Amino acid sequence: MAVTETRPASETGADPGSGRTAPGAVERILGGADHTTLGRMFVLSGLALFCVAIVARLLVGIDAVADNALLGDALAMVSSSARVLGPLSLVGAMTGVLVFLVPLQLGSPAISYPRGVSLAYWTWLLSTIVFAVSVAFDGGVGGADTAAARLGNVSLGAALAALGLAAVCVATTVLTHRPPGMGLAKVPFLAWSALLGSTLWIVTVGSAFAHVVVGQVSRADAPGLAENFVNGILWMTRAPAVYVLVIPVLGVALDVFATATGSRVRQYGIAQGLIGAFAVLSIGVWAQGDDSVNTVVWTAFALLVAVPVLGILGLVGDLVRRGRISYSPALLLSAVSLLFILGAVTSGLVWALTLAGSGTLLGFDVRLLGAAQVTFVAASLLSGTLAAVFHWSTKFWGGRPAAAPSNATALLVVAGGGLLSTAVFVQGLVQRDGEPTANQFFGVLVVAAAALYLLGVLSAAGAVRSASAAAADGGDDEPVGGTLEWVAASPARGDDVPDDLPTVTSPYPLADARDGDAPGEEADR
Amino acid sequence: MSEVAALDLDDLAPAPPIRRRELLFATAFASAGVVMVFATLVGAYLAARNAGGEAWLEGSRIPLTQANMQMATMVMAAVTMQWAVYSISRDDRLHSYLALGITLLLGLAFVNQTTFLVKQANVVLSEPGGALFYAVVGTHTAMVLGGIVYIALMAFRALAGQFSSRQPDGISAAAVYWYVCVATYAVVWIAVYVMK
Repeated sequence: MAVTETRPASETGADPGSGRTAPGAVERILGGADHTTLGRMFVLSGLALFCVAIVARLLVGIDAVADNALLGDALAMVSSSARVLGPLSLVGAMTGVLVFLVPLQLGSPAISYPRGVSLAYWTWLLSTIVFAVSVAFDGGVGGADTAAARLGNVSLGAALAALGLAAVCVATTVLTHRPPGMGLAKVPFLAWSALLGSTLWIVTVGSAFAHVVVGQVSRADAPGLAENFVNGILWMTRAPAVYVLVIPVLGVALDVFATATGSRVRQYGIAQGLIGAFAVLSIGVWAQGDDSVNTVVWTAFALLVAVPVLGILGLVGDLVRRGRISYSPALLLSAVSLLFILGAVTSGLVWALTLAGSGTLLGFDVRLLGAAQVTFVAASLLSGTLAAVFHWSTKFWGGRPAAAPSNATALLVVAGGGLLSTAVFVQGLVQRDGEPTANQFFGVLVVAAAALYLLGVLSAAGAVRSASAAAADGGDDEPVGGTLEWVAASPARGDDVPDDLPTVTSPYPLADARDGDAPGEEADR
Repeated sequence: MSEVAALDLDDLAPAPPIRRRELLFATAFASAGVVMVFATLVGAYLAARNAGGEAWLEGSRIPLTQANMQMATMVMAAVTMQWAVYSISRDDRLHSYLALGITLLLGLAFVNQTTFLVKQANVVLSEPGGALFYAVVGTHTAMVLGGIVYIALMAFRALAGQFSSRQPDGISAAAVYWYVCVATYAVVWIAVYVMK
């Protein structure tokens, strides 16, 4: 055998005959378009950025305890910016879940326009970091420094546009990447909720982006930008538009419970309809002005949105009743994420009651009730995202997370989210007519809740690390669900979908293949 | 010939699946977002104008003739764009290129007319309504420029033979976006120029 001058391609990792070397880890991260890699990066970056928002909430709580000795005039700016930064980071994390899982659930090796998703990720990441930096320089939203406030406005617009672009890619994937036989009525719940949530997100973001454009074109100063935010963008953080953020959480919960109980959702069409009804009732672009609140339509939206949430809770209860229930952190987080949505809906109901008649029926603080809504929604988003990350952990990270950190994460996030949301809600009930009743007490609660949240996210990082370590040790890789993502390798790679996917004749094709193609009640258990 | 005969088709990697209408759906979703940007901007413009009363753009003179010509240009561009879709779906490549070229020309003429109108109108940014005027007109112009780039890109892909009666999606998707541009201009024309 002749001596060769270069090593064979199989050793160098090069593509044979192409003359190119294989991309390194950094090159893969910066230039890659694998939807699984992008999804993981979205999730991890979103959770990291959420820590920044939680630190801001921590400062707000400490300031309340210290009787405004810490933040002074910057209190409103930090509080408003945290109210934006928290959902912005968590929507990014949930987008990561969708980018990762939706193509796998459809048996597709790729997402639509992966380079578009890559562009969306980097734009969202950089603009959210820039937004956080602008907060530090008294900008963000409601800041006093004009240059920093303009920076905050531009970065907010860029982040919204980036998430809108990612939503376009996700929604297009659901419509065009389905395998033969998988009509929309057989799409898994997460993909279904992703389609509805992404579509409404595109519409909602488009409207908010217009106000960012107006703020920038008008060359407004800091107070002008603060007014533009309150009049043009703040509506996104209150009912009904704020519910758009948690539409995918409904899909996560139904898929997690169906898999965890080994049951199928019996009334599949009804469940899809309930998610659809929730989506319709979260259309909020028409309710931007203050005069649109306390109208008949707004009140009807606030009341009716409880129906699909209760319906989905009923379907979950039916799954639990028929299946073999065994505790897991993902299950707890899924259940609580639905309860958090119910909490947000309750805040909306109380808000509607408060505004009934001439607006003086109960005298609750509607500003705080609005803040409670977005806090409940953020808690639901965080719980839902972590539930997905833990439930599909073999696909995300290659193995199952260790029991200790994953259990700790679930308990800390549930406790932190519950405490923070309930504290803000009760504060809205107690502090009537703007009176700062027991302000320091609520400050202590906010500090405690923020600390629990921080510990929860740090614990989640430990759980992810343990899942990756379990993959390196050859962790279990048994498919346990009934939908197509469980066919993929563990950890999943975008181009590694098997060619011999089971034929799709029901919403649970893999369960059909296991059970001898016998969809129905007998195959449930 | 012998080399061709030696090829084993089983060794070849399978061709990636052609996902028809992917670009069409993506364009429709993106267009929905763009329409919402416009609906919000025009809504804000009309609300502010109603509140502004007599002081609304009182220092400016917005001519209608120019805006009418722009509307006619966009209508013609919509017709030529549909001509391109019609031609490519019948493998009439020559007429497709001709139609795409004329559409691009009309699009560039529209942008040119907009710059002329904006100079004539002489709206001051700081006057009441000035910022909203520039936000509406400027965003629509940017949208049309995006449409021109989109059509040019699809025209190059058509020249490279990527579109035909079997796969006309690129031209159809560009057409969808272009029709949205035309429709939104119709709204701008009525809200900003006709109703003043």
